[in-house]
Amino acid sequence: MAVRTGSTRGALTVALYGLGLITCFVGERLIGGQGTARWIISGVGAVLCLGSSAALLLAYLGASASEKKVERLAFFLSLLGLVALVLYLMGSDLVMGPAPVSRLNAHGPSIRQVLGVIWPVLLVISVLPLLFLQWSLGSMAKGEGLEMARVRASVTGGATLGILLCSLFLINAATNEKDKFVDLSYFKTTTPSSASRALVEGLDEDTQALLFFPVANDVLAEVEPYFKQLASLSKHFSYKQVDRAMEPGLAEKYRVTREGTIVLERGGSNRKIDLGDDLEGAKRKLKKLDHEFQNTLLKLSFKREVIYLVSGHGERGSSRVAGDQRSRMTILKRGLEQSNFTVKTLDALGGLSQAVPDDAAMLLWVGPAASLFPGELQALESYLDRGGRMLLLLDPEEKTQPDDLLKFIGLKFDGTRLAHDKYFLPSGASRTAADRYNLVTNKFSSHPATNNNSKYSRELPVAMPTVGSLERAEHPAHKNRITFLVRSLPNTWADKDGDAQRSKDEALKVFQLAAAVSRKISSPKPKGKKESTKSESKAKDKKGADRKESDSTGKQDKKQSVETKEEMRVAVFADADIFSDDFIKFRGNGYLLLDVFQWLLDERRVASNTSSEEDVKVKHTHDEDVWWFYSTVFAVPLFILALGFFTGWGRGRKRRMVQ
Amino acid sequence: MSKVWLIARRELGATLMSPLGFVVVASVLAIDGLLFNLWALGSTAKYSAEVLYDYFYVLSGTTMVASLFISMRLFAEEQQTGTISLILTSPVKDAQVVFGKFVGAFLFLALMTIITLYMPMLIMVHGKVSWGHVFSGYLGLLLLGGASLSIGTFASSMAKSQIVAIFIGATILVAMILLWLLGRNADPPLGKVVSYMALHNLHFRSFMEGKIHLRDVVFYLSVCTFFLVAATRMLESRRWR
Repeated sequence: MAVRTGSTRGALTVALYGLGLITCFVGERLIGGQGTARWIISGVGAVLCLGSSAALLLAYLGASASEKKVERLAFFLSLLGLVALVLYLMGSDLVMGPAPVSRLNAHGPSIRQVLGVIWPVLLVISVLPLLFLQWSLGSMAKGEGLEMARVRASVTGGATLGILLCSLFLINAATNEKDKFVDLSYFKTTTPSSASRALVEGLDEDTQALLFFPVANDVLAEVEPYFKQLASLSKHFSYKQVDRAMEPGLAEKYRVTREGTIVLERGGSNRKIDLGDDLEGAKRKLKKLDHEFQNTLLKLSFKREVIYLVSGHGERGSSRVAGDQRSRMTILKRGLEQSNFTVKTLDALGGLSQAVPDDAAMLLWVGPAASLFPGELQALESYLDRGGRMLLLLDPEEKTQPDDLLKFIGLKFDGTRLAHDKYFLPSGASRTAADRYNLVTNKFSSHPATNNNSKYSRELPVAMPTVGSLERAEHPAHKNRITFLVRSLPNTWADKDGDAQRSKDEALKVFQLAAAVSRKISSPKPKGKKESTKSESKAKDKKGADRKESDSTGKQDKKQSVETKEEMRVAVFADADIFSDDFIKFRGNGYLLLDVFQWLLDERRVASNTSSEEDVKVKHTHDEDVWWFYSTVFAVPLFILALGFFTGWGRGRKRRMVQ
Repeated sequence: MSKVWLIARRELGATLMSPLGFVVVASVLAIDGLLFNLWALGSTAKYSAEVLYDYFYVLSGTTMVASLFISMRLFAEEQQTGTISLILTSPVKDAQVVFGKFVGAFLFLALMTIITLYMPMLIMVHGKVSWGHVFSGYLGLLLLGGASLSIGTFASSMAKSQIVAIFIGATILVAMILLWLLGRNADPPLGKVVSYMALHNLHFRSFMEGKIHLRDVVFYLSVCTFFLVAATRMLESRRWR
């Protein structure tokens, strides 16, 4: 009985072989588990394959000399398929069990993984040539003799396709594993920002991101590259995709009730980011993924610190007070709370007259309108002398200013309102003379506190309504390092008479509108200051000077545990409205605030903005609609048809007619 | 290589000299324009990145369909007119014939795709779109179109008439597109492998968003390679069938 001579029988044998393989697939993949059904179905499949191979062996043994080669080849190919099945069995849970199996070496793949690559390759390169062989034999059955050249060509064709298929699979698997990508979009959503990268690089404790998504989920495809990039930055950061259905224990542990949840875990505590598993619904959240990630990681990484809002001197607060029309600081307060700070008020009754609390990460003093109570100035000076941080926003419209504190800092404030004839911010549809007080400027110094504004000064000007001016104090108490951060545009004048019109004695010049003051302090370490973490050091590494300081601090810590080097940092603005609810929405003001906070707080802890600008909606009028519609739907296609007629087929037709 | 280029030029010239080529281009442009207005731009104001995303989405559909129409005639027409034996007996290798015809068809498809560039430019007028995003989308379209063309070429090499060729091609194409659905419902690791093999879902989305993944480029080139080699084998099989 030869396959070739009895071609119908041969085809039946190969068909049974194929059926056996399909039955095995059904038993193993679709049924699976440890039940009897799997054993029966897979067993039937294996028997079918074995039987077919045996039939091919018999065909080989009984074949004539001219057909022996072909029958031997068919048997060999079927045997190769059987070897693939045996290898599959060896790697399956039936032999190896469900637990992870031993590895070939410490870092290499497991034996199961190796077998998982070998058996499909063997199966493909045996089945495809077998099918091609049978195909050619089937067509030769009509003829008289067996043509070895045709058989060889068919088997080679099948083998080539099989090998090619396997090679392409392996190449794709490797590329998928080591995927690289470039994001060319205008608004990059799934690329970690430099701030997120710095945070992850600075991690000193293992942090894991668990992505609770089903396999082949659209949102997962968006999210995974983001975490893959982060995981490559630090050995302390890793991520894992978790199918809730496959690992219900993990879902229960982290109380994940729906797909599309990201859990960040660190040191036993965890926080969630909820995206959802539907791409349409998750699109908006994906745009803020980087920001969300930063906030969540910050909340996990740092202890909640306190920023004190100095009050009791007629300052602006975060809530509306009856009769007070001044703009509030609600957005600023909310932003700080979102960045894992606790915002508390601090007044004389709360202890400011004695000392600034040790847990103060920073003081925020917005628009003081009355003198300090006894003891308060000393408390503030003492706090700053210990390396304290403060953001002071001065209101030129207030008669009383904290002059003593300013002198201590090394500055002098002139509350005369500044005005500009040409560059100002109109407060309404029609311009009034008073609008001249609403200055805008894009003149920034190069300083960490104006990092973004100075880099993108054209795109990020700041609005400063009702602003005074600053200058160096004549006899400062300390030799502080003073850098003026923001200057007015040229031709600004100080409106001494308050009529919003420039008089002869009001000189046109450039005024200083904000200053950064710092001083290195060698003193016993303040009690409340927490130990410098690796994250902080990492953030400091960005600036060379800070790095030196950090290094020297480290050396000193080894020699003398009590002494440490701190830096007093104060940012003073001659405008109390610049970060108020009405003006913080200006992009330039927002960026300036972020940079100022990052400088004051050692360039850490404040979640930075992730995209440089916002996308715009494509709007067009009804007339434009009509124009767009007709031009895209009719005009261009008709033009192509006309072009074709006059240059392509039309000319060809003419030529043919002439011929 | 010169033989491949000769065949490609001949194929491209034949398409451009026939009304079919221009009718296909004009029809595709009209449909693209219609879908651009109705689907991508829509009736409400959308972010420019979303408009471009939707635009590439609709264009991918028309590109795949156009690829099938362009490729259906490559070998099936030769079969119908009886000129296939001329090709098989000519002093050119089967692989050169397949690759040459594919290159000719691909150049025509690329020309047709690039003509649509005026539509993203209209988005640029009113929105914020980077050239990189446009480039990424068009690269994706060319790769997807190339993969679809190779499937169509394979189908054309199998069939004896153009109708059958387009039917076979469409079946393979639709099956490969819908693999993501199968992958979603299959257990890992099979589910991952199957969804990875889906022609559109996982691999084209990155291009629509302005991202170029090495993984996606390799995938489309792999699909092209496999189906072109399969078409060559199919052509060769005429000698041993």
